[in-house]
Amino acid sequence: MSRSSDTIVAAATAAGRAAIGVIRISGESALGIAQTVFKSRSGLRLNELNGYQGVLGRIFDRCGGIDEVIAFVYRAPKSFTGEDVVEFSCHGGSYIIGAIVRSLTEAGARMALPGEFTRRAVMNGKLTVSSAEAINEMINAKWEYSAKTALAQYDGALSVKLNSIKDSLYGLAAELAVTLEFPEDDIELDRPVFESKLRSAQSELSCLVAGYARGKLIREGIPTVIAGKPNTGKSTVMNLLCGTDKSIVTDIEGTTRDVVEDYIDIGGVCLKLADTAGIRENAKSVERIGVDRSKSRIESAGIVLAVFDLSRDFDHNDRIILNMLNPENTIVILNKSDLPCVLDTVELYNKFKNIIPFSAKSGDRLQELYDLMADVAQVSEFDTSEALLFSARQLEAAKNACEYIDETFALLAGGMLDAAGVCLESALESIGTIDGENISEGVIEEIFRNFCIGK
Amino acid sequence: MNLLGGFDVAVIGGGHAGLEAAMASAKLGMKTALFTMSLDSIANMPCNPSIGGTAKGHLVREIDALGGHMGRLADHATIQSRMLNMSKGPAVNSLRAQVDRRKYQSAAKSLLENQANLYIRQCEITDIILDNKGNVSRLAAREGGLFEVKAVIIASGTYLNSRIHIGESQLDQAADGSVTASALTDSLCRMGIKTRRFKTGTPARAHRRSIDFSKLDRQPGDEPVKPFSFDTTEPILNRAECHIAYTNADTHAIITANLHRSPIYSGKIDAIGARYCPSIEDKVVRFADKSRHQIFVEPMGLDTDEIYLQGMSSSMPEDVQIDFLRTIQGFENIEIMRSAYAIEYDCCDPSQLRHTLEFKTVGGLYGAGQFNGTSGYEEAAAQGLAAGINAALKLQNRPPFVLERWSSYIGTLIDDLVIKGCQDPYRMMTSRSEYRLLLRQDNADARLTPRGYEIGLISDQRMERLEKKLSDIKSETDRLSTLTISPSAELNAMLESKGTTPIAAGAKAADLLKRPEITYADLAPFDRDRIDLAPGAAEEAVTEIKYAGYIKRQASKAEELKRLESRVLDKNTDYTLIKGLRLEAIEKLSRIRPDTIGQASRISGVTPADITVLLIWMRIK
Repeated sequence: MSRSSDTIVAAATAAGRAAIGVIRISGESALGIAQTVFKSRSGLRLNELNGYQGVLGRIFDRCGGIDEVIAFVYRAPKSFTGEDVVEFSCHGGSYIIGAIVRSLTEAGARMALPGEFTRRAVMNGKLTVSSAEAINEMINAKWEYSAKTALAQYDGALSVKLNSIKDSLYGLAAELAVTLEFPEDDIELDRPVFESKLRSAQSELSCLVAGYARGKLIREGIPTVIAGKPNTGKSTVMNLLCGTDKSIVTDIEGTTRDVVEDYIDIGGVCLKLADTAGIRENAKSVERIGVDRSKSRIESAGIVLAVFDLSRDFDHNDRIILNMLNPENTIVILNKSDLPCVLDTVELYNKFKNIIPFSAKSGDRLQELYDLMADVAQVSEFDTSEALLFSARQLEAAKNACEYIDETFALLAGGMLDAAGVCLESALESIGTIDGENISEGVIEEIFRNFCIGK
Repeated sequence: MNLLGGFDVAVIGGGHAGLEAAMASAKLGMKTALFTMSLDSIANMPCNPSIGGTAKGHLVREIDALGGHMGRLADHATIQSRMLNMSKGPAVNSLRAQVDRRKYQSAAKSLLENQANLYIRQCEITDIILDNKGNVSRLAAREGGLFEVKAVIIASGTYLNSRIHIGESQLDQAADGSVTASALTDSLCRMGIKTRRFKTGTPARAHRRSIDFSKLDRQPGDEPVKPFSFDTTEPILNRAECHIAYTNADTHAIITANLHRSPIYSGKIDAIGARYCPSIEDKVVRFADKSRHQIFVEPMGLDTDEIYLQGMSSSMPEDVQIDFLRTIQGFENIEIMRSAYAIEYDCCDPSQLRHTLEFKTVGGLYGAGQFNGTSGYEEAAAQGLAAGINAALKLQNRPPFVLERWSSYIGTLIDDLVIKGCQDPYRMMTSRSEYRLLLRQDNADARLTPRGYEIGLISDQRMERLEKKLSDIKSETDRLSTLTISPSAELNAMLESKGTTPIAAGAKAADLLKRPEITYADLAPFDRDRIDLAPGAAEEAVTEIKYAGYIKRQASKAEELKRLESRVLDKNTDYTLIKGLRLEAIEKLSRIRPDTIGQASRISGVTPADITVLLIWMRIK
């Protein structure tokens, strides 16, 4: 029996205590297999139900009843997978869910592989590959913006964009082909027009490539580093922002030796917050490594929260940090505003536009700090409906397409029109793989490997 | 009916497909018959008096490389020759020759007459009779003869139930006033073969004296003439000139005003015409924004004053034809000798054929040429050659001859026909090949002559010549890759004059040649150690250097396809049982029954997702 023709089963909800759990069965024999373990209260059999109809009943195994459930029937092709599907909504205990799944596998269903339901949806033409990838993003989304952008891709924002790029490239490929196929037909290629159309298609692709990094930030959080010399109160700021005691706070300099991380939500955008070891010149051994890590974190950070201690003099270590900061993405926190002010802040006020006197101890002006962070993160500029590439695979394909177009330009300039046409077709093929139009078996396997079971 | 004899292979039709089929079969030792309805129409060119053109020129070179005859015949009859697309890259360089139509035909007839094992006979085959196993066994002719046969190749061109349309007039005739074959279609239908109706057309022929050539643009041939055949050594001369005329707003106005009198537009013809060979009415309607269309004014031969007006194919009434032609500068007093016409005819759906061009359902029955839904002499000859070879090989119990897509345009043509079928008369184009940078007309011999040799159509001497050429290409490529050219004032002046950057340190000759602007000849003054190479070897070496990256890329693509072609699908697969295939895919796969996953992937309506389903199904099965 072939793998795609058998009937698969899996719990669609997470394990653990919950009010309800859902078990999904999909395949040709879904109704039949479900029926063998299910008896409806009204006596109706599942195969007597229409699509989108549910019925109350009880699930039994050899030892007797397991649970009272609702069986809901979807008829092919009007289901998620495009096949016949039965979903049992049972009580959400892990024993009950496990027992129901077991009874179904004993009745002839096979445990689904990770992503197999979605994969079947793709195979049956219910979803494009990029929509399927978006589903995984939606499941994994923890913040409003990442969920919204994933939904936009699921809805086809990316496909729409790709199709418009493909259409214009197909047109150009055809134009080029005509001049090669019918050299006697008085059709000359208008090179400037041709090249400008090609350039605009390429720049749309480049926008997608550039947008990948933005998409990644939306999904994975903007790397935000809390930096400063030892004992300026970085860990207190961290704990305040996270709302938990994530970092250990003591009076001893160099308490934080490794990087401590947490995620926070600023107006729907995620910041991946990292508390780092205080930077000082003469740190020894283990602390030294921590200091190096802090420095590299600052270099790659999207936002830096630079913490200075108002109650102490500006010193050599502050200077080292100051020299590492980029005013564009830095928020200067003048901490310990509750203590007498000793620090000369003129230079800081001159260099940085985002600067806030603060007391991590009291937490006053916390909202102001949040607003400043949202500002620097450019939260208001995120467009959640834009087309985004969201996997390394898609990025690679888009980059390849851009390179093929570069090559096409060079070949046109050199009069190698035969090879130019072939390059343009290669660009189209690359774009085609983004949406799964011409995608290899290996890539399909890879995409669905990252899915959870039951999806 | 009287049994008049028996043959191994019988070819029905003496056009360009029939000629190649009969010659290949006879040369491979099969007792071969060629049946034609008129011995005077052998290898006729009922349309343009020319051979070659884009992609078609490639086909002729490939036919020649395999041991076929079209290239030699064309070289023999050439009166003017041009290399098209010279400035657009070697993969699209295409040879096109104007030929003397009568000279071509008489050489073709004499070729057939002088071939051992080959019997030419004028008669109309009306019935193909099968034995009780469903294989071909006998042919019946209208004249009364009956022939025993082991294989039959149908190369009927446009002759099956052909009907000519000239405006409101219909003639139940075939091309050039010949008789139509009115019985064979029914015979095919009786054995379950599906036929359909296609249409093509041809322009008027005019008298030379009625054209004012001083008002037309001249189009001389290219010197020196490059032959089609790798075997032609004698020089070919340009003996005639072509001219170019242009339609104008008046021409278009007359056509538009009379569209209702065209049988196509009035609905009298519902056969499907060739998209890539539109009539002038089509062009005027479809490209309404174009202010003029070109007309190539081509002589039909050296001994005739008939002139062919390429680009003016039409099915308009004769009076309209004269009216619109006379609006054209230089044609003010034109006299038509033969009117333009449209012709419809029966042909088969080629997806009923295997890659050997044998019908899937009738053993020993083959189709070739326009009968298979193509258009063009060259496409026809290519299929005739393949069908002739395969008919002989099968009777000799030898493995079939199938050219892969990456090997040739012939392979691409046949694969397209058999796997994708065709919705309108199929014309070869370079863009139909995904491997076109590999399939240059210049390397047709390297690609195919060894295959022809293996089959037995290529002589030892020719094979030796090829080996010499290949070794010259290799040694010249190697030499250019290692040769260092030192910078000099002369070299840098040359480089700059070509618009490319001068060099400061020595550069490899191959690296300079990789610059698109630099030719082999440009480097001659700086490369004094060149030796005499086999003809074409230096050009090939340069192409291989210039296109190395692309050639490598396409070669690896070919490897990919090779892998898919090695995944064999069982002939008896029941696609309805494979869950996950879409309905359209199930229907197409069940009908076409591809031999391999590679073939399946090219069927229109079978998506990559369907292919993945098939691959998984094969793995699990």
